[in-house]
Amino acid sequence: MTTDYPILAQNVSRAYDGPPVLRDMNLAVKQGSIYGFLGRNGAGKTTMIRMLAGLIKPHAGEVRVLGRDPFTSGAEERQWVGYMSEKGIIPGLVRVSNALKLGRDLYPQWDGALADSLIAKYDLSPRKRFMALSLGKQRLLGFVMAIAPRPKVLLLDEPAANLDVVARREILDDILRLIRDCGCTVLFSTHILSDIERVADEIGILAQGKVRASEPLDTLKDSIRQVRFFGFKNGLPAEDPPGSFRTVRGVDELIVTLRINADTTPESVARSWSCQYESRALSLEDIFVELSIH
Amino acid sequence: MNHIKQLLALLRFQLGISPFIMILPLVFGTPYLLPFLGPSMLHDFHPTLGLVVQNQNMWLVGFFGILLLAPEVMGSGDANAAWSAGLEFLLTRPVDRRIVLRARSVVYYSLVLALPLAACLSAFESPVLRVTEFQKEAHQEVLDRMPGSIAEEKSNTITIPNGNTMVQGWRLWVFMCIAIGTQVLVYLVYPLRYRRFICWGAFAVIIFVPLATALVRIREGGSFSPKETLFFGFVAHQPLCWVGAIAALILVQLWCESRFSRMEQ
Repeated sequence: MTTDYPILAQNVSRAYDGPPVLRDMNLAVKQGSIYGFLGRNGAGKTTMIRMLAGLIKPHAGEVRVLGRDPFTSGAEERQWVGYMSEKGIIPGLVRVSNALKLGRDLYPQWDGALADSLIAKYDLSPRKRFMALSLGKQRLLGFVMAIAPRPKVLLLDEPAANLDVVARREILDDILRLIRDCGCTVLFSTHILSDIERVADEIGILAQGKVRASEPLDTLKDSIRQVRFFGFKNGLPAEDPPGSFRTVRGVDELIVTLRINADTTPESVARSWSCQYESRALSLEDIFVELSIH
Repeated sequence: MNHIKQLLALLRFQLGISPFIMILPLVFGTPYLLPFLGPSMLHDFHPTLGLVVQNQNMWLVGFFGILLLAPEVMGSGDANAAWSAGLEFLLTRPVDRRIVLRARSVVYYSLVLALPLAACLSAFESPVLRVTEFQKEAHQEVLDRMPGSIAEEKSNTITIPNGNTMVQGWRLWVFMCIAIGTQVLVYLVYPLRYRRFICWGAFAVIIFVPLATALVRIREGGSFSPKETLFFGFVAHQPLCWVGAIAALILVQLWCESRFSRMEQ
């Protein structure tokens, strides 16, 4: 289980001062996959990633990264986990070269050639202090620090925030290259759906403190559809069908966002309601909105 | 990677985080530098013992202690990139949590104790101290309580053979005790929500307590302040004071490391 799923969270709950941000949340990321984590602001993505990075503890449930509790794991385990925070976390007065030196000193497997090539590619001046870099360049340095140790697990919290389109694509390409090179498992959160569609093997949509959907993009698109039921012979049904996320009731039709599985299909619902139906695929954005707000 | 390698890497990095900390020994040690500022003015001037043992910069040891040991305590809490203390960055690198704190402690104690330690060592070369006590009671008390002290003829000046060594040792000891106290305070309040306000409150107390004791002393009279009385106690029980301080330093450090490694960020 551990080797198959380097990132695992089981029944995790976590609150700050108010109601829980995460409630009995489960997450399992397969070895070598790129997992895109979607959720609205405050949905708990950063909380989950900080938990996986060992910065905070769950109040209930357990979290495992490479089979270990990340909060109590030591240097030996931590060297295989790359982490890029949502915020610029490198101290402002530290020079780019000092940050890289720390990486070289601490990680036995630090890939200096990779770091140097990325520094040159992103045009990061080694003499510059972190605070003198633009927000975008700060993110890029954070990314270099996360990726240069060639981690087995890479946690990226909003890696593309504050980046222009070109830099964003470069980061995504580098993530893909790293995966190809060493089979690293990546979990990254973002609000930019096109990024997810570009690189993620699997998508998790976090809402109301739980992962509402966790599956490959194509499967997700196939399994969640918007279905219009019309031509009811016995009038509009009072109940929503099982597996529905949202139902919009018209005068003589229902528009239902439906999760399709073995038990619930548009055909089976139409048959039970004695009506006709039209089914249409949803874009990722539509699916995200449907799962996030209902 | 072993702990020493981690510690050395973190120490090198720490200097990059805040290069300005290198001037802190000078800030802490201003009283040591005064004699160099105006030798002609200080020539043949023998201050009272009270003046010798006091050090106005103790609150700076506490203030910078918080900034060095746990800058995030005084921060705004939003991890502003430019002024971030880098704790999240360090804790997500391959280092053991307790080593992160140990590196901070090493920097702090080194900066605080560097100048007092140097002064203490140099005092062995010129151990004699001459003080002037104008009050009769104070004059007699110094003679009674400072071992080997001799009153000079026809003057209020007293010569204390190892006085300078004792005073410099006392300063080093006080610096060490204040630093240990600061570390305890910082890591006691660290997990609390209102930690920043508690620390500021502690400063207010540290700054105003000496003022209050001075006022009491003026009102009630008396030859020596609590600090001088404490100094006499230190002189009488030096080995015990040193063993106690070193033991406290070790225990506090272990306690802080253990507490820190269990704390969330």
